[in-house]
Amino acid sequence: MTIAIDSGPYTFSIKGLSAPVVSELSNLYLERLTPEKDGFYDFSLSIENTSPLRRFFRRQRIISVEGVKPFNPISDQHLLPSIEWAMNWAVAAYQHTKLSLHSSVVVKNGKAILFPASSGSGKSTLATYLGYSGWQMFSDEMALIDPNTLEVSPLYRPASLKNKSIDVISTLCENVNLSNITRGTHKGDIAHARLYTCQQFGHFVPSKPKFVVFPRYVPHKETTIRMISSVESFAMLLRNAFNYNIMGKQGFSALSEISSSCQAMQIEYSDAHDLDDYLSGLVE
Amino acid sequence: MLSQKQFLNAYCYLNGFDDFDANKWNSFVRVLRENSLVASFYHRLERSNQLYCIPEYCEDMFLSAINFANAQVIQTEVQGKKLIRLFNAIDIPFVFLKGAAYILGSKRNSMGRLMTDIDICVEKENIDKAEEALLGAGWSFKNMDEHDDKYYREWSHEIPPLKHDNEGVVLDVHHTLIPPIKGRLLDIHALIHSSESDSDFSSTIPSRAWLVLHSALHLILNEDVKNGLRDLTDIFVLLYGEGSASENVAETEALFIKEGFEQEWIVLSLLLEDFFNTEIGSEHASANLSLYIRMRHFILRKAIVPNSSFIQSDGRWLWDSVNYVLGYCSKMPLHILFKQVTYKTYRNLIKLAFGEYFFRKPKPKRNGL
Repeated sequence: MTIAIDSGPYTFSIKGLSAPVVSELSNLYLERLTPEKDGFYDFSLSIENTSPLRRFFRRQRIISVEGVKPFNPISDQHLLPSIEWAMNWAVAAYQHTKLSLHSSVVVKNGKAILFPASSGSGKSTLATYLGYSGWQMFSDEMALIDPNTLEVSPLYRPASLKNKSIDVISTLCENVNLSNITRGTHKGDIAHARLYTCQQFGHFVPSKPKFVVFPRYVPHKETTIRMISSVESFAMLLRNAFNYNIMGKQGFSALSEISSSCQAMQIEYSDAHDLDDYLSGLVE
Repeated sequence: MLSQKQFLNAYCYLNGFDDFDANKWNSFVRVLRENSLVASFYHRLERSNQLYCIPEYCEDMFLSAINFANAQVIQTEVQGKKLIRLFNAIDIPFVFLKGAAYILGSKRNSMGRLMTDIDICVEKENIDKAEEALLGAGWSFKNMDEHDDKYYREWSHEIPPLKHDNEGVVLDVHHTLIPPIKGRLLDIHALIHSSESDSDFSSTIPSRAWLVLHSALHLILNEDVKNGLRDLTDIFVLLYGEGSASENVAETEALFIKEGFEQEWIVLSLLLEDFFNTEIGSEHASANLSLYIRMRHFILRKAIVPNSSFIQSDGRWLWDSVNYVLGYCSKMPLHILFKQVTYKTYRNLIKLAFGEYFFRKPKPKRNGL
């Protein structure tokens, strides 16, 4: 089957999917997933077999992104998270008119907070919890910033939860819509969380970041906050930028403007509810 | 999906966009993106004052590709300066080839053209000294199996590819332009001293005729023409995109003949005629051409068209297979060809049985993706 996914700023065409995978994706994207129609798509993905023999014996699949195969082959069971990673890869590899940061984004009262951090820092867990608790989660993975307006675009993408964070979110967010758990990927166990209906997402509008928070989950630790300078913030944002080097002066100006206009802080926490209260106070 | 004619009409002649709906644009830009031709096509369209043809929904894709290509220019200039400094210090003359030469020589075909590595050429007597200097300056050889290492060391026209440990750039160091085992030797001293200027970069950029000769040999004497349309576009723009086309063509033809590649010049002329409607092929079209020229021209004309699921193809695998054999035959003597084909066939059979990725080495974890 070939489907189309409209994530908001970008559309994806995905070929070669089986009915069960389409069903799982439908649960995450609702009516933003449709059978592919004629038209233009920003990114094209294709799920292919690696050899005729491996269609039948130890079935193996490979994801092609615009004709490039950036990942190792996978089994059918690992397709769902791999498609999500491939969609991220497509945007990071080919989209260079917006500054893209490895960062979660949440918004309240029209004010965005960036959580730039590498994998395993807990940024997806935090963004998912906040997105469930009254914030608008624009993304759990990638901040796309217009270099002219400095606004961050909302993305209709599920949050990607790994290992223990699946249980954490299941406990903290009772009615959250979780996908089946994909076990044993190279990042461990993965589940995806859909927080919004398409109608709810329709109210999300691009917003300027007002704060940059570098979060770190530390078990049993009281929430501690350390303000950081704009210079340090610039350096830390730079480490999490996917295409800063490609965007040249525009990338530098955007990153410089964000680090000088946004209050930046490092926060260690163990109680997400406590952190929610603090962050809500910031954006009132 | 586009027909081959629709694709080539749009790509080569910059025509037919009036008939392009969103579906055709989708197919067209997919093929461009798969073949790293998005930004260079945009620049060709810009030079012909036809940017208005690009619909708004495609603009972001083109502008992203332009930004990427512009970043590559900066990276190439930085690496170019470092290599010039390194080779000046050990007093080894060298030239840049292909993509790096186009960028550093400010050739028009470099605009938006992407590349995966930097190519340079030194004379064979300097290859050991060059290798030693590069290894001492942070470059190291990429991992490869014993067969591939032997292929490079004994049969090829370049040493195994080097990668910079910190900067991720790949460098190919050539000592000639085609594998010397075929017995067709080029005047590499003349290539290295063919530069038309003494300035920093310019002194390391071969003359236009040498750039075309190298690109043509890469296209015609090769088993892999995945980037064939890009190479032919390079040649077309080099010859017809700047300066006097008739002088460019005359100088280039003279070099091909001097270096013993008259047949390849005819094949190239015919291909330029086919794809870009130049007139240099017409004088050969009715001539009594050799079987080699006829076969090479016929197969390349089929195999150069990008292999994509967005273009209709008829028997594509056949043209690629025939080109694979003819390309190897063109650059290797039969006894080495036999060894090479046996080895490649073994690997391809294993891949067919166990998957294309059987020999792929695990990749380091990507940051969060």
